[in-house]
Amino acid sequence: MTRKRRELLLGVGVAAFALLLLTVVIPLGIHVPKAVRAAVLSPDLWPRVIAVMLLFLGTVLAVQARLEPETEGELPGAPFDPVAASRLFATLALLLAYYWLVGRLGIVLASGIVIFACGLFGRSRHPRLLFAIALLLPLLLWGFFYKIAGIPLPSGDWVNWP
Amino acid sequence: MISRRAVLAAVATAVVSATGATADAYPERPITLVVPYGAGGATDIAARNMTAVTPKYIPVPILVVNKTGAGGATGTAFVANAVGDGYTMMVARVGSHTVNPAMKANLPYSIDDFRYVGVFEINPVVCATSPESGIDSMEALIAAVKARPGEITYSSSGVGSMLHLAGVLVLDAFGIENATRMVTHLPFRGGGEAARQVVAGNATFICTNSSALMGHIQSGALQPLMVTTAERLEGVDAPTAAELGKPELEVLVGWSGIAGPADLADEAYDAWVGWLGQITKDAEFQERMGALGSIVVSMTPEESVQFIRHQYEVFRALVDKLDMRVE
Amino acid sequence: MNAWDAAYWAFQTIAQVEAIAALGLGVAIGVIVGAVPGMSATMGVALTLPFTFSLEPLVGILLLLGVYKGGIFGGSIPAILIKTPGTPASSCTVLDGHPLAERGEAGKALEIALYASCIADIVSNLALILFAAWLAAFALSFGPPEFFTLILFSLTIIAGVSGDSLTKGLISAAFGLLAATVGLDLVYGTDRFIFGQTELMAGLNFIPVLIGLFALPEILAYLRRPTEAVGKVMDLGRHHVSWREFRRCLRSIGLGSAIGVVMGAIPGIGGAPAAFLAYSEARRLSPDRERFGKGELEGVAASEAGNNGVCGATLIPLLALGVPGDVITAVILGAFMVHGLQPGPIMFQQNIVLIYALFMGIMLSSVFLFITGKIAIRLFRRVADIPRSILYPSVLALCVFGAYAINNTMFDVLVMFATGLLGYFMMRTGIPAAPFLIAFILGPMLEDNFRQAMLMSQGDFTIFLRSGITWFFWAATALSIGLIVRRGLAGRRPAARYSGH
Repeated sequence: MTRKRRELLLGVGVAAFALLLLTVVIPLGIHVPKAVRAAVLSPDLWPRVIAVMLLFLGTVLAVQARLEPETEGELPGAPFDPVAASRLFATLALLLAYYWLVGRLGIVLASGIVIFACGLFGRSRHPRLLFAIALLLPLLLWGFFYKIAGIPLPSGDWVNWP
Repeated sequence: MISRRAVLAAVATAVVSATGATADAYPERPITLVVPYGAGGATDIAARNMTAVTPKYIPVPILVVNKTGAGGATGTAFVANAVGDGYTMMVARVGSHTVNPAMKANLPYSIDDFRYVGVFEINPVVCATSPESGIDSMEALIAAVKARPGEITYSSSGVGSMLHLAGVLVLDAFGIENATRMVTHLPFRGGGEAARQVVAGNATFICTNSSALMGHIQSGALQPLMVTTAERLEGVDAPTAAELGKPELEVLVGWSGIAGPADLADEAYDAWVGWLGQITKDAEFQERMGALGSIVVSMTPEESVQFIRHQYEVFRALVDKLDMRVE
Repeated sequence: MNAWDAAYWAFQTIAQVEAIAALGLGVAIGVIVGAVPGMSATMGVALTLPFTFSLEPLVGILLLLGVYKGGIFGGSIPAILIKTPGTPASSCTVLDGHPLAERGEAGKALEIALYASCIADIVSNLALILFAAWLAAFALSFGPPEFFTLILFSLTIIAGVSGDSLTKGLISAAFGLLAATVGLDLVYGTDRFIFGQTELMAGLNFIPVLIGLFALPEILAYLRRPTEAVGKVMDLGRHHVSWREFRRCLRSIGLGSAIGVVMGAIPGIGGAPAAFLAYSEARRLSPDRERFGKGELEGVAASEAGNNGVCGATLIPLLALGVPGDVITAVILGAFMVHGLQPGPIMFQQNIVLIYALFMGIMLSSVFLFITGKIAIRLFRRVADIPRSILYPSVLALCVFGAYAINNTMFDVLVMFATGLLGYFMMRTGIPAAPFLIAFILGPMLEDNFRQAMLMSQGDFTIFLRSGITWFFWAATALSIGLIVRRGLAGRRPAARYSGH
């Protein structure tokens, strides 16, 4: 994808999002009371102004991209890389798994597991150091937040600790 | 390294607490005390004052947790939905438990979603104006509202705060019809900000806890008009509501109490009633709260529930009368 | 008692082991708390408060002040080293601090951050001691209309952090404004973009958004294509700030301090906008404007001077008027009141010894900040040596703990992940993150003050011209926009040629 093409798509995307905001999201998402004292005080005035701003800026970006001369070079990293793309999805899955694990095992155990998994996934060449960190860092944070600052940390349904 | 024993013990605890078998063992782990307002606010300081003396009476640590947002609704809703095992309690407050439920239809909880251990502190309400406004008595305020409908403003710490309701409740009691239309409500983010705007002359008057205004009154930056306690307040040169012929305004006071979810277990409830009785008699606690302008009270759970419910009903009636309900 | 007697007794009060120790301990706690993402300086102060009850008033208050000042500096350490601002106030430090660290000059960045913080701290303290009454009167004259114009002016700094495309910077800012509207409406209390989610009623929390926008995209980008990047290990110890570099930054430090003092004296603004404003002014005046955002020492100096310049000055409304300007000073007000003291004009008459002792302690705190900061930089040297494959997973865990702890809810962790994804998308499409953040901070203030002013005036727009302050900021805004337009026109030619390559 060239820079020009990317900017064009981005501009059109932003403008389309702004239209969606104006027609669907704002009317559904904002409750406007019956008796609004003055139009400038309505709860949906501000979001509407922002949406119009986005519509304008998206259009400007698209027009700017059209007027720009076609660049030759591809964007850095632009050729589609299936490995990198699947790794990105795997990373997102890891984040969701992290969230889910906190609810099952508690934040300390879950963090240890995720640090270790994440490090291996990042092709760490220091697995032993990684293991030590995965073990110690969550405990250290637990000590700091729970023991010193007195902030209770989430425990899980399977392991009720901390 | 976490010893395996610790993990096993934790697992065992989980199993036991899930079945709820060890009824007499309460409390066996730290108790979370949710404060639905921000760190450093009046509620937070009250809670932290309390935890400063709880080691004398409560055998486990009390962890104060601030869950802020939506005028106290976030933290309050969290406790309403918590497990009633007594390990999640909260500091209930006038804003979160009587004003909010009376005003907001979009609230994810109601006044009945809680089991109240007791009210431990009340905070008198003072109405005040800036001396530059030329208003030096309730009479002058009422006259000004009648003379310039809609132009008089009062500041509050947001929609659904006690200050929001207090402004119109007072005017309504003094015979202003349609009080919400006759004055303009000016919401700010936080009580300190609301008071500052009256001092600076950007809002005409404010009705809020005496502790939030004491400094300004003593330095002469604010002119007190009325207090809602039965007796006059030391350091505040203003008549009581009863002296002005409106004793019904005595219902308008700030308060803090301890509450748990509606299904709070009996043993936790009984334990807390006992502890709260001891804490409110603690001289150190009384002294600290007194320094902040609060009056420590010992109410039985029954008296507390009656007090909260009565205040709720008065507020609710006003909200219905003036059509102030937030959808 | 005349002033000299008072000063003498104040010196007697401050020259005791407990007071000095409290100050030192407070600064140390502050630096640690500030360095942990998700533990803001505010939380540090609130958590320390109960321990001050049993102390003497002066000792307790110095402890809290130490935590406050240490916390604001401490936030810059992770901002520079791992692109995760420890406190909101240090989010601007990321812009140039992290690029410096990536170039292997983290040591320099941390040192200049410390020097700028200490100098700004001293300036701020002096302003508190010398001009408290005058600045307090100025601060009190800020009502909603004045705030609105000030914030409108502050929003023009977006142009300075937009990178090479102003349009994209503005798009980023518009998304920031939009994200800030989630929650309950200020005037009517009705729902905005909540869609039945109770957790959203409170709006999006600042810290998770901050972490998500800055730190997570880095981690995602790394895990997508892991490279150990041996040559780029952030080396800390070898590089020090040279005298010449320090002198070059002095102007930005001075400017940042002055901006910090003024913004600090006005209640309710806080460190983050002050830092951004200081940064953008330093950039505007710099001959090497292009280097800002790519690892310019002056950028770090300006933003750290801006946020630490706020510290002493926030005490001005508190001590002079008894008005707490932000949450931290509200906690400190609580500490005064627990001891039966009421800050304000009366305190200057009745407790002048305490006030003087406090002033002396505050001046001393800058020294402690310097010493503690030096030690902290030495200790955090090790962080730079950690290989990325271990550092990034650890940062991820740190961010999750931090995002959770700020309001004790896992929902904020989800918010952080979501903004992380957004931040990654923005990184890939070349949309700058800083305008999003500035708009996210300033947006609610702009809207709130606009509507409050409209309520005050019953919809009459002339209220925005009611005072000299509003006129001043209208003029400043017009001037600022004029400069941006002129620069944009002047820069069009070379930019067109550049993109034609």
